[in-house]
Amino acid sequence: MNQTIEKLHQEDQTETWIEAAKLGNVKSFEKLYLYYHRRIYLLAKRMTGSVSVAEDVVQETFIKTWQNLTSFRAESQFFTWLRSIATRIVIDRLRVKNAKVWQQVSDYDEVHASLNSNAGQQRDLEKLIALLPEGARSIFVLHDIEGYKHAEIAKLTGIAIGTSKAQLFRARKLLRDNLNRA
Amino acid sequence: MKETDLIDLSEERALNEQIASLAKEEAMQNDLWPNINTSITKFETKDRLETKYYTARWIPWAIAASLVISLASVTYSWNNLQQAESLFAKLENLQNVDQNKLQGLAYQSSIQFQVDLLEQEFKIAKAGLFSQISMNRAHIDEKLFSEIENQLTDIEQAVVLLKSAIKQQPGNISLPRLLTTTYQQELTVLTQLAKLDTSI
Repeated sequence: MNQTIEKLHQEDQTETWIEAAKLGNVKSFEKLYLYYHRRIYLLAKRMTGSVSVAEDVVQETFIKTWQNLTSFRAESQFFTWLRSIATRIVIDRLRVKNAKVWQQVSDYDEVHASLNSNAGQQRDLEKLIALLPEGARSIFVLHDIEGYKHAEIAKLTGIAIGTSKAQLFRARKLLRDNLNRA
Repeated sequence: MKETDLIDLSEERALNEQIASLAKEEAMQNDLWPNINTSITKFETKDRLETKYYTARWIPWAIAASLVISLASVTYSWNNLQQAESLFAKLENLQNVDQNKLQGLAYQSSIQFQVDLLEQEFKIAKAGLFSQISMNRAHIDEKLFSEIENQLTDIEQAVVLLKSAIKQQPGNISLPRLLTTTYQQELTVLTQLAKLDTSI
């Protein structure tokens, strides 16, 4: 499978695959899946902190993408469009789990304690990100890793821009403190 | 934790460097394509079936409804025109009344009765033509329509004057004739207006 993906990356005929998939060609859509699914999976895993939830998100994202493929316009990049579908799915799931997920700030002391108790793993940023509170983690991933702006995050999540900035500040502080602890 | 804490720039830089070096993608443990493939194939089949069902059911009903409406419209128009033509014939008969019979009072009351009858029939024919005209209104030029409306108002004013004259001078034979001619003129205008749609 990895060889197939490598080959697809060398070919990079995404535009052709998109056009063919729009006409109902499942094989071309499979190529799009093989080309992009690992990026979507990592985004979902970082935002949710769960492998199984991330896999569900990937599956749902590609099914929704297939269903709405005809509405995709070439003005935007396909990955940007695909990522926005995945992001919305993750945000909806977080919101269903806890409507005030992005407003919560009370559990930072617990997170500090949790990070300290896993001293051996603290140098790994990926693991530290996974230990962040859900609200702060999702905003950190969207802003600092995926490059979303605070205004875009606020629109997606339905929170104030100030809340998004505050959550990011807290997430970054937690990560800085733990990355530099010897 | 206070948000006003001072940020160590070297720590901030180190964090940014680590973020920049994070992986862009990651392999999954499970291959999800078979599930996705099953779902999208199901979706496609369902979608296609729904489209077929929709097409098969909707179009014959639409055609049937159009035919019924067209047929009803034609029948209705035909009846209205027939009614108007029959009234024309009656008006002709009234004009050909033998002048010798206009001598007695009995005949005068007969004339009044016939005028009343004529008026009733005229009203029915006029109502039918009006409903036909209102159906055609969308196809009739607004200027033409208002011009015809003005003409009809003039004719109706003449009818009112004639009817009061007949009451005042029941022995005047020319008045009922003039009235029938006026009704004929009004019906001619209305019939032409009603026929406008059939020429489109």
